[in-house]
Amino acid sequence: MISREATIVNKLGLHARAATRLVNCASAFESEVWICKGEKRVNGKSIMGVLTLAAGQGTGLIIETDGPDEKSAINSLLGLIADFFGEGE
Amino acid sequence: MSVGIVIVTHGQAGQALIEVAEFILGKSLAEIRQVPFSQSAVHTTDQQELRSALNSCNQGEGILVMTDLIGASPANHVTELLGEFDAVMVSGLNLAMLLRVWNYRDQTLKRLARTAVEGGKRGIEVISP
Repeated sequence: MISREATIVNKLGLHARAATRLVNCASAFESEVWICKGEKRVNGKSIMGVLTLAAGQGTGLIIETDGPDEKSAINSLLGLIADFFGEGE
Repeated sequence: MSVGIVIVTHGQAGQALIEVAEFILGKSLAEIRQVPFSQSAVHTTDQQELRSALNSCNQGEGILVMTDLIGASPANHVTELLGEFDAVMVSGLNLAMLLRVWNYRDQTLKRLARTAVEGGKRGIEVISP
């Protein structure tokens, strides 16, 4: 299992469309994906799970991936978050 | 004097729910303010309209804001404004929640928020033959 810290940097935070992009990215991998905010840990392949984090801009998260492609999965997810979910700001 | 009620949703979802509730109840729900958020992006005007809606329905008994989807932009923007008002947000708005809140709108803010959650949940059942 790999675990990495990430900060939500895009202006709108982990809102509905950003959450969808994150879930789509996570679902492309065989590995399990978990997103943690404080005590809360949700399935990174579940849109409602991710939305319930209500993670706004500046929120610190921990991303966990576990499985045969865990390294590619975490790199893609961290890249997506750092890229503002493709929103440009 | 009663709790102010505001509905904040993506697009016209809130307006549609209000219209159906009015049809069912056979009365106007004009006291409920509705703020539509654009679905493509959140604009400053959305935030201004939201603040103005909260101000206009504030009668001193608090404000219940119902939003459609937790973690989504409309709910996130409401969350940012909650501190400016005596307001509580309940997410997961559905028709059952709206009807319940309307029927119990004389309750205190805290109680009405719980009623909203109970009403919304009560409307969700699995029905099979």
